Amino acid sequence: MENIKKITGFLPENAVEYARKTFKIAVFGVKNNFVLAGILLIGFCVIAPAVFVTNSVNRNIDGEYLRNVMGIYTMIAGYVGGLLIPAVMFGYVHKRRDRDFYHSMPVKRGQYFIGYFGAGFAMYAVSYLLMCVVMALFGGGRIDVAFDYVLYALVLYIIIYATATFSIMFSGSMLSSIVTLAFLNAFPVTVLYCSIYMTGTVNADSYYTLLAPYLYIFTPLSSGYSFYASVVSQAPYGWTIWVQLGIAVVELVLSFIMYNLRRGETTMAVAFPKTRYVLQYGTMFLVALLTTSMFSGWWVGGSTGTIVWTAIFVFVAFVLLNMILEQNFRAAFHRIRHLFIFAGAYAVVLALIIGVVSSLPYWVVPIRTDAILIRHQCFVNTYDEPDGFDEERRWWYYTEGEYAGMYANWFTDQNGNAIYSIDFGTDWFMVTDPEQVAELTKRIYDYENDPSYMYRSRYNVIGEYYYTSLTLYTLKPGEEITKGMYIDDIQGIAAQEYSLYLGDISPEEVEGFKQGMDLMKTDWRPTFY
Amino acid sequence: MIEINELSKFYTESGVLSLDSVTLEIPEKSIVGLIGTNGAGKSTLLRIAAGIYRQDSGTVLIDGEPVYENNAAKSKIAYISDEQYYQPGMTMKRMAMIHAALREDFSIKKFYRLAERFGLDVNRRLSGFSKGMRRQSDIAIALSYGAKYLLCDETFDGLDPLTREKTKRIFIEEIMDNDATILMSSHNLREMEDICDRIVLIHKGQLVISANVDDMRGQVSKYQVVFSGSNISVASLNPSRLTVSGKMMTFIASGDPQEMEKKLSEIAAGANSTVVYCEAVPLTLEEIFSYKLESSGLVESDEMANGEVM
Repeated sequence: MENIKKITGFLPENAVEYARKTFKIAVFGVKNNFVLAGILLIGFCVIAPAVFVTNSVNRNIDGEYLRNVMGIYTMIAGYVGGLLIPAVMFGYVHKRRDRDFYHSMPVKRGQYFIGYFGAGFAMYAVSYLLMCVVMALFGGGRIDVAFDYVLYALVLYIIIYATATFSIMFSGSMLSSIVTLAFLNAFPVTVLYCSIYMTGTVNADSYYTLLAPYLYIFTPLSSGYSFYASVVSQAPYGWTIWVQLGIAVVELVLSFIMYNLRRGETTMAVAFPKTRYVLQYGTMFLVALLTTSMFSGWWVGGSTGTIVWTAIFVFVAFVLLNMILEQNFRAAFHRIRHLFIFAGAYAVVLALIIGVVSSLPYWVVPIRTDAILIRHQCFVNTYDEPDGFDEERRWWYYTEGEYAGMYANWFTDQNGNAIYSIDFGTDWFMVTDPEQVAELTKRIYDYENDPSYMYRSRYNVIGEYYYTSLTLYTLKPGEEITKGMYIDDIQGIAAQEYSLYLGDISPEEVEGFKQGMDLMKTDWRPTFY
Repeated sequence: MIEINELSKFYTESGVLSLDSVTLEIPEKSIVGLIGTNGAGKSTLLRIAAGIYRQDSGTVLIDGEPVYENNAAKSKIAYISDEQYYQPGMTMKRMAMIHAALREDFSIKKFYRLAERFGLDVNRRLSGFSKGMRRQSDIAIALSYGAKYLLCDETFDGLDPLTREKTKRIFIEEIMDNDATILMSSHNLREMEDICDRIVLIHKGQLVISANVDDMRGQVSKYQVVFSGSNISVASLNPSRLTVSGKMMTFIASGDPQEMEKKLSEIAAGANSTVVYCEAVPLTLEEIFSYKLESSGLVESDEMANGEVM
């Protein structure tokens, strides 16, 4: 019983009195926030219909059109109400003077929490229902269509309200509430995005299709957009919203508990001091993951560029979060050693996600390269028009002239003229001589880290174009790692190896490496490309 | 009665022990002054007594009931903060409406009467009030509860003399009518002297003195003594702020004045001298507290001399 009282603030036998006072607080919440109620009413019942009418001039307003508009408005209403209402109604918990005032009153914290939830819900529901009436009037009297999404509107509001309230009760300032909100909602999708990018598979059997619905459940702010997407696609809104509603209820319960437990005197950016590090380093982890995924590739200087960009973004995030969470500009560079510890931990995590050695630049960990397979591909770029288009292969083809029997891909030059790139076929070469391998390895990484590479594409050059790509096999004890790299210069290397290929490598081995190359196309790991 | 027992409060954010095992009783229908330096713990104690903060250890009982998250106990309390709360554009009347919505014991009739007594326009925005007027509006609203206990945090501090006198007068008259119990904090000892039955001195979170004002005045006095002889030591009396100017010796000491005169005669006799002149001068509370803090070793005498403490 004592524990119930401690958490809820009342004993069951006092429930009637508790409920009566809570209702009184709800009424007070509406009266005291009449400006907020006014904003909702004007926004939903005046501005929204006005925009609808303006955009519907010279348009046949049928049920389908009204339904789509109500879908958009329901989404917007959920976001506006779900974010604005808790920010206004619970903003006092972040201001000492306001907080002291309300907590000095003979009102339990739980009564404020439940009462204000009721007040906010009432304001939102009334505004939304009135909007439906107004939209029905302007929408040709289609009341059934206008009210079609009432249930979803209320559910969306609760889902978004819950995540916003959780963030407010967890935090000690509005700014840190925003950071918390972003962290809570970004975590699942960041994991999803990075897992896609780092494993490089986006197809029916990929992580995306498998994980997306489950991870988006834990992204409450996605609920509105998911709802709208279902409206547009006219697909029934699935089970996810109800699971999100369940999660929202859990968030509200946790928020209730946090409000009761948080110290009345707190002035910090987080209400529970030890959680500050979870928030700060969790957010930095997301920033690091996203940056690593987005900024990897040859166009940013390969592995080195990825590391540099990740370091920059993580450092900026560290500084900003220090200032926000300590509410002091001078705290920007506090705990710098934590940053280095974080960097080390992140490197370990990243290595576990995408594999150790193949992800590191050669100047960090020298790779022992035992063999290099070169795919020597020949393209010729021409303005000559092809003779036909193969629907199945999705390539152009020539039937006459010097290119007869060849297939071509196409793109446009700077002036928008079509260039046809004719595939003359691929040859395979193996390099195993240790000195040649070492020389080629060095050229690979020099090429990879040369920022001018992006300007050296020869796609738009008319005439012969030799496109050479390279698969690097690093054979370590019990481990084989493949890595696709581009190289521009194989002069002095390949010519010597042709005979080596012919003489020393069996056709079975060539076939095996070719299969490895094929596998690479579907199991691409572009992270440190 | 307000019973505070072994109350401790530690601010984790700043690492400060704000209150350290404070034990105190506020009898009903008494006016108790809470005195202390900045950061002594006065506001913290009042906030815990008002149920705003939760203590780390110890208890605060209002008529035998714990106050934190207890609506019944809080209903008996009116808390006047050192910082007034109001929303932008809010009038005094609107503020009163908010109080009325949150407290069932709020009397609108009494509120209007008090506003009139203070000469305040209830339809005027609070942001347009002077500091003194805002304090007066706070008092008017708090007194409109008719609460049994009033907790006042530096309510009269920072007001100009005229406003302070007027506010104090109305405040005292009103609480006398209601037989309310007051616990009020201030930096101004002189003011507390006039109003309070009892004074509590807190220093660095610890309770130093809790005593009836009249009793305290009787306990400590300033003595001006002239002996017939010279170089006579009064160290055995534990004097404080001993000064010697010619034959006139001035010091502060605690004890009954009649007993002190006897002891001085004994000291003089021991030194083959006599007491030529001896007068016990009553001290102000400020001087008494200074002596108490110095003699307890809580502050150095130069801190007192520089006025750093009070």
